[in-house]
Amino acid sequence: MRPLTEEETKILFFKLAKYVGKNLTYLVDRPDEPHCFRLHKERVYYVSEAIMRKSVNIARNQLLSLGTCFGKFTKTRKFRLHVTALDYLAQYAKYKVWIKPNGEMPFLYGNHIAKAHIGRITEDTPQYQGVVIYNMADVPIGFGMTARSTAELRKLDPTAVIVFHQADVGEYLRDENTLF
Amino acid sequence: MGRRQNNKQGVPQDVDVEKRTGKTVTKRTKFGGNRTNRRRLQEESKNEIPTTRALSNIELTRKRQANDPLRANGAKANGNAKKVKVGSSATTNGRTAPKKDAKGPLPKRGRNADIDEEGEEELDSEAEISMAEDEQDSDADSGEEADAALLASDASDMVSDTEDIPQPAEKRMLWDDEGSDASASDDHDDALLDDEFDEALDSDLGSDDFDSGSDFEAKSRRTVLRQQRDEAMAQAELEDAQLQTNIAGDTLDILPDDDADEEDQPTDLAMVQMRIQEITRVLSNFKEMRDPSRSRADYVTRLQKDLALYYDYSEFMMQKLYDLFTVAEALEFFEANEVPRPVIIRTNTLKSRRRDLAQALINRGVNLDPVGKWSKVGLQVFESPVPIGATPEYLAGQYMIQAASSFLPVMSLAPKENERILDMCAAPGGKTTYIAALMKNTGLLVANDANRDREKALVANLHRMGVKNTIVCNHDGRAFPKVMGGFDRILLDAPCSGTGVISKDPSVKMSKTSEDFRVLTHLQKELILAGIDSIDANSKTGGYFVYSTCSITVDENEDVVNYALQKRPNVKLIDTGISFGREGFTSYQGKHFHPSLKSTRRFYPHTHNMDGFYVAKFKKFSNTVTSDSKGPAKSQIKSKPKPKAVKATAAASTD
Amino acid sequence: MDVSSVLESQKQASKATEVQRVIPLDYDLGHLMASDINVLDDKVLGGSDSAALNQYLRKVTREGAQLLINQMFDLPTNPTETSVLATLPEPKLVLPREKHVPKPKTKTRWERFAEAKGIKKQKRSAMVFDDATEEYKPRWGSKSAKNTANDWAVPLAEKDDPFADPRKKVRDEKKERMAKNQRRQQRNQEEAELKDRLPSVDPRAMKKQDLQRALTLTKTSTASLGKFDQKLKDEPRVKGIKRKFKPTADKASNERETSLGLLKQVIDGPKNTVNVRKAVKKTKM
Repeated sequence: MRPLTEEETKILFFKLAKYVGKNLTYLVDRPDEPHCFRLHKERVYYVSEAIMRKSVNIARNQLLSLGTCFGKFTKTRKFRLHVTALDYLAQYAKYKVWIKPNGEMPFLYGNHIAKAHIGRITEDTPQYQGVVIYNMADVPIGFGMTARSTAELRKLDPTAVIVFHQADVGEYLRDENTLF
Repeated sequence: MGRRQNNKQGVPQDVDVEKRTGKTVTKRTKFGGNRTNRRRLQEESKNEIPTTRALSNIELTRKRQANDPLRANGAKANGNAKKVKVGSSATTNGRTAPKKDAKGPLPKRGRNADIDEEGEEELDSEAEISMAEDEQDSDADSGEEADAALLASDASDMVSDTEDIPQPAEKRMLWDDEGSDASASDDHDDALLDDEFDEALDSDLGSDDFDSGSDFEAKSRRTVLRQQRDEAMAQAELEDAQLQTNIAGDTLDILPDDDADEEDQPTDLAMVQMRIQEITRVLSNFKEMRDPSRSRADYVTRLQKDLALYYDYSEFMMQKLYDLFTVAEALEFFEANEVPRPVIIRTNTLKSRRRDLAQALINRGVNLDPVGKWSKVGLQVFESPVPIGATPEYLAGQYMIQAASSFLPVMSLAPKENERILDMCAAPGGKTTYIAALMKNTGLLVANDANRDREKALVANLHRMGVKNTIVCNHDGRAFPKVMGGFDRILLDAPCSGTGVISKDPSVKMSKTSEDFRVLTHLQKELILAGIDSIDANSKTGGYFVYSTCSITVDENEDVVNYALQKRPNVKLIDTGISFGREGFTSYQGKHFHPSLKSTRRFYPHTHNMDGFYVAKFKKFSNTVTSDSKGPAKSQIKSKPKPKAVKATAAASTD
Repeated sequence: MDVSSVLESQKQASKATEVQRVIPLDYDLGHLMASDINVLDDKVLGGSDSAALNQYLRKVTREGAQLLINQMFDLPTNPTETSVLATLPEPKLVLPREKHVPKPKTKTRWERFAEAKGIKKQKRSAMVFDDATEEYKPRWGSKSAKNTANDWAVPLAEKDDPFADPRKKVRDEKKERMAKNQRRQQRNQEEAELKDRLPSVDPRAMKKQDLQRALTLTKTSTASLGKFDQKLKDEPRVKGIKRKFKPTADKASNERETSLGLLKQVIDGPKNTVNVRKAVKKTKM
C-alpha cells in the first residue's frame, strides 16, 4: 500500500472528473473525516485516514482490501473504474440516466443502453459524458458514457445506442474473480 | 383457559414486524382466489387429520417447520398480534375467536378502513401491507403455553409416561430452560396436565400449517400433494397400528434375536422405519412395554443402528448426535435435517429499509414476510419467480441472503458505532456486513479469514453492500493479537464440523470422523484464546467476545468455551442477549463444565427452524491473564429467572 | 723371499684414493653428484663421544668425495695449454622448474574469428613480382608496389574531385587505417587483461552494461532527476532508478494540499501556456 504518485493521481482524477466533474473536490476534501486514495496491488482504494493508518499494521501480502476499491491501473498505466466505485459516483454524479424496468436486465447483463430503454435523462447531457445509470426506483445500477447528446436524442430511432455500457452491478456476479 | 384453548387449536403463528415507530404491525398479502382454495383444504385436513392420529409425528413437525421459521418464538408472538386471515379461519372453524381477532381488521375490509382503525402507518396499495397496532403487550405465558401444547401434541404419544423413566442427571441439563424463554420443548408436563385438550388439538393440527404460510396457489398445490402423501402414509400407519393392537402390546418381536442374523437381512426402509417407531414407543414407556429379557441398551443400540440406516448417517456421527437429545427429540432432529431451512434475506440498512425492500421485491412477484419479532431486518422468502440472488436489488446491495442462524452471533455481539471490531473468520461476509450495518459504517471493522479464495466473495459482498469501514486481511486467525489487538468487540464464528447445517450439506452425515473432530476442536481452542487476547478489556463501550459455531456437538461448543474459561481467568461468560434458544450444557456425559455455561445459547433445526447453532458471549474484565478473585465463577450473570423445577423433571428423559 | 705382495697390500692399504663401499654409489656426473645409500655406523652416530662422531662423519664425507673424483678421472678429457679439462656428460636428474609454465596468450578477436571459421595462416613470400617495373618488390612497406605515395602521377577516376589533393587522401586513408588498427590492438589488450582478471565475465556484455548505466546516470543527473526531460516516443522506462514514494501515513493536510492542487489542474484543464512577459514586449514594439 502506498500513496499515489502525482502522475497516478492525475490519471485517476481525470477519470473521476468525467463522471462527477467539480464535485470531485468533495471526495478529496471531505469535511466529515479526512479521506485519502491509496494504491495497493495496482488497485486504488478510497479510505478514511484513520482506517488507512490502522491498515499499516497488516503486511502487504495479507492485506486484501481496505475501504472502497475505486478501480485499478492497467499495465499500460491507464485507470479503469470498477463498479465498486458506484456508491461515490452516484452520490456526486452530474449527469444521470434512468432506465425503464424492461431495460434493466439487458443493462445488468452488460449491454449498451438503447433509446427505447431510457426513462429519463439529465437535461443537456453532452456527448461522451460519463453518466450514472439508475433504475426507475432510483437505485444506481451502473455507469457508462453517452454516445449522443440529449439534443440529438429526439431524431434517433428507438434501437439506437444512447449510453455505452462501462460497468454495472451485475459484475458482482459475473466478474467476481477478476474484480477483486 | 378459553384463550389458551384457542391458541392451541391450530391458531397459527404469524410474524411481526417491529417498525421504527416501535409499533408492531402485521403484514398481509391478499390473494382472494387462493383463500377459498385454502379454506377447502383446511376442511379436508380437518376431516383427515383425526383419522391419521397415528401418523408419524415427524411428518407433522416437518410441515409446520417448513412454514414458519423460529416456530417457538412465533408461537410466543401469537399473543401479540393476529394475522387477519388467521382470525377468519379460526372463526370458520367454529371456535371462539380470540379477543384480539375481533379487534383485528377483517380480510375483506378495505385498505382505508384498515388505516382508519389502526391509523398509524402509511400503507402501500400494491403490497397490501396492513398494520395492526400492537395493543397488548406480550403475554408470554399464554403464548408459551400454547406453544407447549402444540409441542406436547407432537410428543403426546411418545412421552406420556416419561416420568416413569429413570433420568440421568446430565441429560436433564438439556431441558433446563428458563421460564421467559419460549422454548418449544419445555412444557411437556403442561401437556400432560392439559391432556384433555389433546384430542381437540389433534384434530386441528393439520390446519395449522396452512394458516401460517402464504396463500399462494403453488403453495397450496404443494400442500395438497403433501397432504396426499401424508394420507397414504397415515393409512399405512393405521394398518400398522391395527396390527399392533392385535398383538396386544406384545413387543417381543421388535428386536431380532440375533444381531448377526440381522446383518444379513435385506434392509427394507419401510420396515426400518416401523421398527424405529416401535422402539421409540417402547422407550417412551419402558417399564410396561419392554421385553423383560432385553435391556434398555439393547433397544437403544438397535434404534441407533436403524436411525443411521434410515437417515444415512455414519455410526460415529449418529452416536454423537443422538446423545444430545431425548429419543423423541432426536427423531425430530434427524427428520428436520432432511428438510431445507427457509430462505431468509437480511435487509442492508446501509442502503435500504426493510419496508422499502419488501415493497420492491413484492413488485417483482416475490412472496415474503418478516422473519419474526426477533429481527428487524430479516425477511423470509416463501416463493420467488426470479432468482433471489440475482435481482437488481440484490446486486445493488440492498439485501443479503443469509441463514437465520447467522443473525444471532451478530445480534449477540451488538456492535456499536465508532468501535474497533474484528471478525476472525469473516468469509463470505454475511455476518461481517451485518456488523458493518450495525456500526453504520463508522469505526473500524477488520474482516479476517484464513482462506484466500473465500475472501474474494467477502470483498465482493462488502463492496456490494456499500461497507466502507473495513480492512480485509488474510491472516491465520491464530496470528491475531500479534497483527493487531485492542479490539472493542470480536466475533469468532469458528470453523466447525457443520453438524448444525446438515440440511445444507448432508456430506457431514458420513464424512466426519473422530480425527476431524480432534483437529477442529484443537483449532477452535487456539482461535478462541487468540481472540480473547486481542480484546481490550479497558474499552469504554466494549470488551466483548462472541464465540459461535454452526455445529451442535458439545466438543466444539461447551468444551471449547469451558477451556477458554479455564485458560483465561480474565474473561467471564455473560448473557448472549438473544431471547430464545436452549441453554448450553453445564455437564455432559460425565464432563462437568463451569456453571456459567448456562448463559450460552444453543439453537436446533427442529425447535427453532433455523440451522443448528451455538452462541457464547464473553466479557473481558482485565487485560492481565493472571487469575484473581473475580473469577468467572463470580461473574455468572443471573438476569434470567430460575427455571422451574417441574419442567426439568418432566422434560428430561433418558436416551 | 718375495715381499712384493706384502708391500703391495701395504701400499694398497695406505693408498688414500682407494675407497671400499658395500653398495656402489650412484653417480650423476652432469651435476657432479653422487648419492650413497650405504648404512652408517649406528654405534658412533648414537654414541656420546662427539669427537669420535666428528671424525667418523669427516671420514665418510671424504670417502664419498674421493669416489666422485675417482669417477671424474674416467671421463674423456681434452688437454689445454694450462690444464686438462674433463667433459661432463648430460645430467640425468631433472631439476624442477623455477617459474610457472606461461599461460597461453589470450587470442585477439581476429584470431578467435579465424579459428571459428577455420581460416589458416598462409605462408606467403615477402617479395612479389611487380609487373610495371618488371622486378621483385616487397609485398608491403614503403618500397612495395602497392605504395603509391611516391608515384609521380596519380590517376583520377570519373567520380573523384579534380581539385582535391589525391596524395592527401591517400595519406589520410593510411592514417585512418593505422588508427583503427591501434584501436583494435588496444581493445584486444584490454579484453585480454579483463579475461585474465575475471575469466567468467563476458567483456562485451560488461561494456554494454556500463554504457547503459552511464546513460541512466546522465538521464537522471539533472536537478529534477530527469523528471522534466523530454522523453522519446516509446522510450522504455528507465530501470534501476529507485522509485521514491511519499510516506504511506503522512500528515493528512499535506496530502490533501497536493491532491487539491492536482485536482485544480485537472479541472481547469492544461495550464495557460502564453508567456505573458514576451507577449507584453511584443505589443510595446
